[in-house]
Amino acid sequence: MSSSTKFLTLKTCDDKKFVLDEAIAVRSQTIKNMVEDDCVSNVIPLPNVNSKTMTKVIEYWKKHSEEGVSKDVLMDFDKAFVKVHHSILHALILAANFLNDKEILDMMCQEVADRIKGKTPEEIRKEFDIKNDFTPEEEEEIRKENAWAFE
Amino acid sequence: MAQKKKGVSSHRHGNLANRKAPNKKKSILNTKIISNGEEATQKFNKKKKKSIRPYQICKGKSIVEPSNDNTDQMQIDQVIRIYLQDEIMMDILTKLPVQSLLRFKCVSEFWNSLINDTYFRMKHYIHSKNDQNSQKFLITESFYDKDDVYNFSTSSLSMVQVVEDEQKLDCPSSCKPTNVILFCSCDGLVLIFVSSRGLYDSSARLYEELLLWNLSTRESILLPHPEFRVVYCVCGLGYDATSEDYKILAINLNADDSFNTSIEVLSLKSGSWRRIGYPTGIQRVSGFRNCGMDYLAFLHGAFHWLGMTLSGYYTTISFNISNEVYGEVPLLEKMYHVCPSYRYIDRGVSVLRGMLCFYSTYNYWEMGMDCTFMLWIMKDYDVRESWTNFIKIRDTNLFHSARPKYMFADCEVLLHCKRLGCVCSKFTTSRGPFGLYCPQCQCVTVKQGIVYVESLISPKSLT
Repeated sequence: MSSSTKFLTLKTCDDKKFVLDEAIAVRSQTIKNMVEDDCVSNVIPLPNVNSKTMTKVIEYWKKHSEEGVSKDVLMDFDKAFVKVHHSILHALILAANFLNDKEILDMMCQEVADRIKGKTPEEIRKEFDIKNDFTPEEEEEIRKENAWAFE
Repeated sequence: MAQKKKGVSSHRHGNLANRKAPNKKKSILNTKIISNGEEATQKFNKKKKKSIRPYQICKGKSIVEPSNDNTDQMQIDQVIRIYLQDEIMMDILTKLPVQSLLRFKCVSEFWNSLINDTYFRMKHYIHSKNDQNSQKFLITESFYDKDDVYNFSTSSLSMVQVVEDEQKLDCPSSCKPTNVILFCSCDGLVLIFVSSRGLYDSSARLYEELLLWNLSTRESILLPHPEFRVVYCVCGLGYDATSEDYKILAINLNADDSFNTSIEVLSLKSGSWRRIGYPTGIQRVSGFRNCGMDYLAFLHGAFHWLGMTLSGYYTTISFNISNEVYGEVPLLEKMYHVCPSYRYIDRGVSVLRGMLCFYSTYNYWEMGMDCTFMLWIMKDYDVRESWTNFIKIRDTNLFHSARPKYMFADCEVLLHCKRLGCVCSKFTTSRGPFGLYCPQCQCVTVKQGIVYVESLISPKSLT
């Protein structure tokens, strides 16, 4: 295991570079694996993450790496952090998944779940661009089985 | 499917996962992922020695040989993206309440098969179990002055006493209940007894049902009756990891010594009750209604209740449902030793946050009313020295029996309180207030309640 570099340079898909303390960057399991496997030369490419999303991720990492931050402050930070537009939420999930940061991924998935839990099947299809491949009869059948869930 | 079975068989709920997914029209997820799920990811994370882009190599489903060749990059990325959507979607869906999921079965065939998938259902339950918002509270209310009225409702379990999401439920029985006993819950399944007077024939015969009920999906199954009438029994439900089967224990409370006490076990897969012996030399403890045996505390694969040995010391009897062996979990003498002037004593064991607990209520009558409630917690299972006094409440005009039902995140405990000579009962927390009882017993509501976890586990799939 070599950790000769204290700082890592991350390059997002839109060619923006982020210089980050290695201790913070290894919150990403993907980056951590690379560092431990000694395959970090100069720049770590992040082909799946754009700079806007990476800025958000780094904002989260830095806040959660600060020392002496109370639980309440972090909770408030998290609450504000997830209040983003649908498209950013989506991008953050993909980024967290790529970076293998379970903490962010879990929090973001929870946020999506909270946002969609009250929706109708029609709204869900629209939200996730899903094609309804049931015949009207099939759909009606499934609907009837759990009619109370639609109340 | 073969791979799928392998991957999860070692899990506690292996039996659920192993069952064939119903009506699977399409293979919904990459089999490899269903088979290994998190384990695969974890394993992968550990053995990442050689790979430069471990993530891609692991996840790309159509890439057989990992390659560093740049021409493959586009293809890999594309595959990852489509593939991850499903995995992430599953992650999101495991965090949804059951009601939403039942509604979302209509979204598409894929969603329907995913939500019906046994592995998904298990994953969902594992998430629920650790999620504060998935802890629900079932309450039955009956009114002493109104015959034949039983109300069922469920709500979130909130420390705030005003609960907003209360939902009314229909009783799962085929008859209109005149008597209901809520025994316990396990993995989102509630064991409930319902009886009804004379609705099925003119002879006013009692009609009785023992049911296993998933409140979240509103599915229930009728269970066979033990030899003894369930109304005289205390019943418990537990999962036996060895036989991968749920088991129900029924102890007949109509006997007061070990010679007459009979126990029966029902394993859901076999569908029949079996009589087993009761340990000799163990007597019932005396006190308030069904004292020591109103609830069978299930933890560490065993049911627990209170008993007294012939030499007069109190102990916790345990019954292991895998090997059907009795054991003892020792108590400290100071936990059950009381000054003789105390009367109306209630004691018992229960489970709070996975720990065995012992509770007692002592009422001192001589000079007005002086009541003491004590709650002890065994921090390390079966380690006698780890019994710790957790709560002590002393109050006048308290209750005759307070039985702990749940421990909130801040360690406040939900208590079910009853009073002698008064039919009503109510729920309060260890912080009080306790004085809400009307001394003249104007209130006539009898409440029972049980905490359960939201789950998609289908009782029909367990028999």
